[in-house]
Amino acid sequence: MRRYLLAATAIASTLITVPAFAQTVTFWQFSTNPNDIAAWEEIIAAFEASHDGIDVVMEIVPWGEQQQRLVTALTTGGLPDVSMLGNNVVAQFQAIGALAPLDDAFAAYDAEQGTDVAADIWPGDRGYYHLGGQWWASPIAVETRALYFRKDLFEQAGLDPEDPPETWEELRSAAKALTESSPDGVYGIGLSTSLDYFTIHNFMSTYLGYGARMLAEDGNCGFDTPEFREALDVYTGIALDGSTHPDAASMDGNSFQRGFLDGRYAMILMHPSLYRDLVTEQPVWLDQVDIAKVPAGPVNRSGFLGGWPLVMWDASDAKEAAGQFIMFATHGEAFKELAVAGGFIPGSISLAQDEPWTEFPYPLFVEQLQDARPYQYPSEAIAQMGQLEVDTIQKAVQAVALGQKGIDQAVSDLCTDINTVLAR
Amino acid sequence: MTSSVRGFFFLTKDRLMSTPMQERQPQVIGKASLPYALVGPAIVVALAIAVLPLLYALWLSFQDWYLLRNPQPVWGGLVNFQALLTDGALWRAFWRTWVWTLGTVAVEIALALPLALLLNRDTIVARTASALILLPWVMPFIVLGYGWRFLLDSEVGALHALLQVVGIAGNSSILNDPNLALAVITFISGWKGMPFMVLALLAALKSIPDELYEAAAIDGASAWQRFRSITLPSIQNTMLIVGLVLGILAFYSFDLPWIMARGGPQDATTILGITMFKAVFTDLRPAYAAAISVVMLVILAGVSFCVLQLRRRE
Amino acid sequence: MNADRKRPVDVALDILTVLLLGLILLPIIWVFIASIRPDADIMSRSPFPSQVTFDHFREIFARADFMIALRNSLIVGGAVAVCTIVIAVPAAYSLSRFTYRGRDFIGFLILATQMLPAVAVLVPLVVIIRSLGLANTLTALTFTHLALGLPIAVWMLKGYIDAVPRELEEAAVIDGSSQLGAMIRITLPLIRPAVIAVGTFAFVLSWGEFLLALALITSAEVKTLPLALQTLFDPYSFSWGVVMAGGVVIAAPAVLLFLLFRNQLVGGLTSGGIKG
Repeated sequence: MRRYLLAATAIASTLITVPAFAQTVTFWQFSTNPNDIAAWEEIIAAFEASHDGIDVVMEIVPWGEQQQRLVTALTTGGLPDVSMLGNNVVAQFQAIGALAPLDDAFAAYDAEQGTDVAADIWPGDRGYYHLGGQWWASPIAVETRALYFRKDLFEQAGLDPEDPPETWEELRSAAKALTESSPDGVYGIGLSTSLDYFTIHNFMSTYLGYGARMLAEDGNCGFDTPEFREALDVYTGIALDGSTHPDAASMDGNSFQRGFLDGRYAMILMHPSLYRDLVTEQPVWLDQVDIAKVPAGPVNRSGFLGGWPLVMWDASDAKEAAGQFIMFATHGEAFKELAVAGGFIPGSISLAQDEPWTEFPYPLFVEQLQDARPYQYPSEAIAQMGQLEVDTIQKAVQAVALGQKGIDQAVSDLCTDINTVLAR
Repeated sequence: MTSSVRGFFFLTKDRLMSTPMQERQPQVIGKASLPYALVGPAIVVALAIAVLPLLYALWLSFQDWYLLRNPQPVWGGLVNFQALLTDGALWRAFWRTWVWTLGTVAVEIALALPLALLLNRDTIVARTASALILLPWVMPFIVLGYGWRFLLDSEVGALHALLQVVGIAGNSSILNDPNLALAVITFISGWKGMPFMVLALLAALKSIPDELYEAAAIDGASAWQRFRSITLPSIQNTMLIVGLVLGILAFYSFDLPWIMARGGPQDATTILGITMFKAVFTDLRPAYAAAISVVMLVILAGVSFCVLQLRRRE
Repeated sequence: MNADRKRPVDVALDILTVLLLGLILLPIIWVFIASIRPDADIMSRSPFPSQVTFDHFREIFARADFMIALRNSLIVGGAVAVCTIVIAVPAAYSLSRFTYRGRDFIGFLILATQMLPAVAVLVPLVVIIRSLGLANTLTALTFTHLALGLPIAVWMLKGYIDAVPRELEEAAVIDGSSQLGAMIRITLPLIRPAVIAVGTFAFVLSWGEFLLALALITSAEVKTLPLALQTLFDPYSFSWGVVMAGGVVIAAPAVLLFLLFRNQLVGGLTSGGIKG
């Protein structure tokens, strides 16, 4: 009965709101930044101009609400045709069967433009968007975190400002030295041990760098290894050394970012937008800021892989039009302008090698993107990642950093939590 | 409401407007339906907003619906309730929620009562203050979260400095400590809800006739005795009812503990509101969440019934 | 209060009020100050801003979506307050003054509407409203918000009506008025502070309600303030000052409206002359 009502409403609303000859593509866009919104409006205008008979309607759904809105729409109806999506929950919605594959749209675009869009996608993104042999998303933005550091504070601590820490061990000792030599209230690094996402964004570089993996070969929790223990030890060790803010176990990412802008941290692992904020605020020490790659572990250097694609929802009635819009918006000149306006690195390798991402600070981030990996590397993306990313790993980090659990206990509890979720 | 009853309702109003009081004859027909007519709209709202969703939640609680396994709900029988009974985290959150709820209401009353007494005066200051006191309640949780965070920051927070002097806080913010975090966030929750209790108590205080106080003063009663024997009994029922409703609202709090500590540190501030939010939006188990809300509804209804019995009968 | 009160006591109590208010509203004061400080200044030790800037407010008011949301929230809040009073007063009167079958059950039913969390109520409500074609309307939001304040409105008013002596109405009925007339003429003015309190409660609950608005409203022209506030939390362009300014813009109208109505809170039985 409900499905009948929903179908009836959907049909009725399409008939009522749309002129008979045009197709409407509803598009949920997640950024609320006025610059981004303006850029999207331009893309939409350009698309509508070159694709007669297709009408794109953009709705702004703020990032913080996206999960709630999408899940509500999943259960009550009202999904859009196209939307952005967090890169690590693509697998979740694909597993439910809520997404539509994009292979046809890719092929059509390639045939028309003579491109090979799949080859232009960052390797880490392949892990997130290429599932079960098909493509489910077309990337818009990618981002990764790199090590911002203050050369003036390095000198003050007797460290070589041209030789930033290369490994996590070096990071730990540098952070300690920096804390000791800096005045009260200034810390070596803005490292989070709270339940905020910021913690996992940094810590994942550590555990991947030490060779730990979230999922073992058999699909169960793979963290119960000496590698993960070492990673957890060095990361929480930084906090236990007192090299970060004493409240680190309860602060959020925004507070840390604000702190770096206020000059309280000598180092921080952050995204390129931080540099944009630095340039806006112009602190006196701005010219002393330099950026280095994220520290490596004994096994490799792994950057955090952030970003978001466009996806098409299976409930859509306008799949062909939606597919065209997705390809248009994620490639070509219009896309490039969107990326420039939004200040993010495009999800296309070839574009990112070009202007303006050849200017500081982008080249370093772009280079690091080759080594940016998803949380579950080297396994394929799993549907439960959304659940696991919320706070499972963060709880382990926080417990050790607060001295509430020893490393062994924390790891064992973590695997219990992960296996419980996987077993549902 | 049937049209005849509604017609009577408006008919009476019209006659009131046009007929002088002395000529009115009490209506016999339809008088019995008057109370039902008066309470009718409220029942309609209750049915639409609460009863229908409750029936849906009841139905849903018997379905097996983990979105990652079943895109559509499938009959599951008692599977959710069985899972509920063995979910340790849920029951820990349950007991925590009671501590939270009772703590919140206690703080609300403790703050509101002295304030209401203080603001129950006729000066400009008192009247302006009774409007300004609304501020904690109308300011969004998110914004307040940052305000309180600042006060509790171990470096720049005034409140933290005070707590350090008193010996409660160490070198890091009390938000790092599971018990203190729960305590302070509970306090903030009470602080935020206190304005409504102040308003309700003010309204109650203003309905106490002055003459009662005058008579008591003449009889030689002290201020404290006047408070105990006149003020307190008069506002007792208000405190109880408003406390009950504020308690029910607090029971399902989500925003505050989520924004201030993400339900942490560890699980320390994970109360039912957070558990249910996660169950629906993160874990994608709407049927399980429905089962939880059905069980909680029964428990809450039972407790409310008992609390209502404590009312002072006139 | 007692007309014999000496002035110095009043002054002393006024001073105490101001001090206590300042203490209790400390976090609010911080938010207000932060909203006029440049971002770089907000987390500093000094409570006094080194610079005063209204840029944050300018940015808020420049955002058309915020102004539209302000208008929408005012409309919905006002409608909810009025509807709540109009429905709750007769209901409370009915529960208080009459005895009839099912009265206690009805009273408890009304209270019980509060006992379901928004999360549980969300899905069925959205389905119903979508199938009625009312998704994305302020009407639907108003109706769902009614449920927020109605239980307490009814129960609180019932309590106040209980406290008004029946003799007053009975006197009017003996004089020839109908029961209903007595309610409107006699009881209603006496419970005016409670009615104002209840209307305020309904308004404020609606003003700050987020979850239901999130589920029912997707189009920009119909957004309410809590939804608009969320748009300030973009992870890549976050400004503390603007968020604080947003908070002030949300809190201020409610308080200002109440300042307008605060005179209604005075009055009632203290006016004298009604004792039996």
